[in-house]
Amino acid sequence: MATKRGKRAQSPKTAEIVRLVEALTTGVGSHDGVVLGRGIADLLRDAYRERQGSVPRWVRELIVYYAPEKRAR
Amino acid sequence: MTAGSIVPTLPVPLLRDGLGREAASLSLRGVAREVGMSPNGVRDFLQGAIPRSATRVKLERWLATRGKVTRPPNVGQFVRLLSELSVDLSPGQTLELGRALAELLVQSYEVRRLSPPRWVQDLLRHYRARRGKAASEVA
Repeated sequence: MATKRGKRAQSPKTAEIVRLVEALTTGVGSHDGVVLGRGIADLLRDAYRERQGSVPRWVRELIVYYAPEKRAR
Repeated sequence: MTAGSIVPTLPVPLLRDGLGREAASLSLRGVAREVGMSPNGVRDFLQGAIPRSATRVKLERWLATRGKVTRPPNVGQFVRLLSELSVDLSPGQTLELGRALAELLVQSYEVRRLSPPRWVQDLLRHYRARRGKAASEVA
């Protein structure tokens, strides 16, 4: 699924979450939901680490999706 | 829809408001049929009755399925997102995630110097109140 950030969400679950984040931040314009998306990814990573130690693939995909983009030199 | 949360995550007034909007477009009987409640049960809730937790969860889940394509952002989308995210989490973690999501949503607006919509403010108040209550119960 192509999204506003120009990145590609990998799994259907990740794509659905990205779509909902974008929908919820419609009208806010804060980097297409990046503030919310990055916060969610961090929260999930911490919650899963606390609960079971390993982070599911879909959470890792979200972390990558919302990671700050590297600047070209 | 994913398994989602097993505890109610929305303030009752917000849930009632969301259901009322759907009832306005679908009819009371239509909502009742889709949710799996009696029309009287739906009507009583819309008129102020406080449903049991299991009924609230059922209503939240149904509302989430209705939030797929609507604009502007709404509480159904919030519930659906929380449901997707909390599939493996405990009820306590789900509530904490809901509170954090509401705060992040407020931040998203504040970053742009915009005032969050009423439903976002209600959501945040709800979670902060629950957190305060939980803390006082522990103390």
